[in-house]
Amino acid sequence: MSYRLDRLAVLVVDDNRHMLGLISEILRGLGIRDLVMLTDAATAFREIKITAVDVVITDHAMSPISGIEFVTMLRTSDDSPDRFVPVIMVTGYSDLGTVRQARRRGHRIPGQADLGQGAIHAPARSDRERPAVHPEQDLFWSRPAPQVRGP
Amino acid sequence: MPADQDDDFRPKVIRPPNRAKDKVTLGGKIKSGGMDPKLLRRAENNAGAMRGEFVKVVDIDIDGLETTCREAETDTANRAKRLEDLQRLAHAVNEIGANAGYDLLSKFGYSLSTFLRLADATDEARVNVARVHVDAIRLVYTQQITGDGGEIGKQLTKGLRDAVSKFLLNP
Repeated sequence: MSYRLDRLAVLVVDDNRHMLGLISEILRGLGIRDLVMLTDAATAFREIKITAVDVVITDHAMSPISGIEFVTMLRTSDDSPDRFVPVIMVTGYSDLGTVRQARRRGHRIPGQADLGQGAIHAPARSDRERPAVHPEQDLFWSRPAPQVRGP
Repeated sequence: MPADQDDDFRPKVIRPPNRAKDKVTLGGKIKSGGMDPKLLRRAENNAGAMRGEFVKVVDIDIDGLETTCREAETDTANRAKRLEDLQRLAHAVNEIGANAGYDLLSKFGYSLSTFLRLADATDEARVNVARVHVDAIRLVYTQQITGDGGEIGKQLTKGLRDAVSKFLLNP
């Protein structure tokens, strides 16, 4: 018997309406009907106090509150309604520095923003098995080495 | 051991509830089976069906990229803000390009976005590097080069790499 994803309530936050639409279609395809779709993190933080959700999916590069700041609010804010809610971050920034930063802030699974056909199985595999969408050689310049700090 | 440390201190291990797991496994009743392959296929088909919408949006984003790059070139007083806007637009081209089937476009958008976010270069060099990226992105789109672009894609990639090197060596 397969997992009953249709029982999940999911909150999706992305300031790009097209990406929001894409994620919503994918989740509907997976059988999830209880969806809350929002375009900014401040509204999402208010909404999560009213509506209990089982999983949060958030974009990384949002403005004015970024995905990282949103997760920090969820994890550490005194008025956070659920500090342990699982969070999946969707980002086009698949570089090591961004992924490390996301992990330090409490994301379970950094995802990738290329969600086209063939990409949906990816989260089922481990992070180590998943290649970055754009490997380092796609950059046309030398960038500084990622700074690694303690947790 | 510090004097103020309590000898009787015992660490408390907190195991947060895994509500999502409880729900999808019906409280542990479903032990195996994983994801339903039919649902995965349906989700992928849903994503694929949205490609046409993303192709339309790519056009709008490239126009915005072109306009903002021109502003960064001419509006020197607000150049930092224009470059910030350009970085966001390049990031959108990266995301939308990948989902519209324009892998090369996405690659160039990613390179520009990451450059503007992380590279240590003068504003002059940043604008020049942005310009060669925007021209390459425009070319990929007007020529409708989908996927990695094959041989043309390789030539464009080499041309872009050479141009960026030139500007970074001689800002």
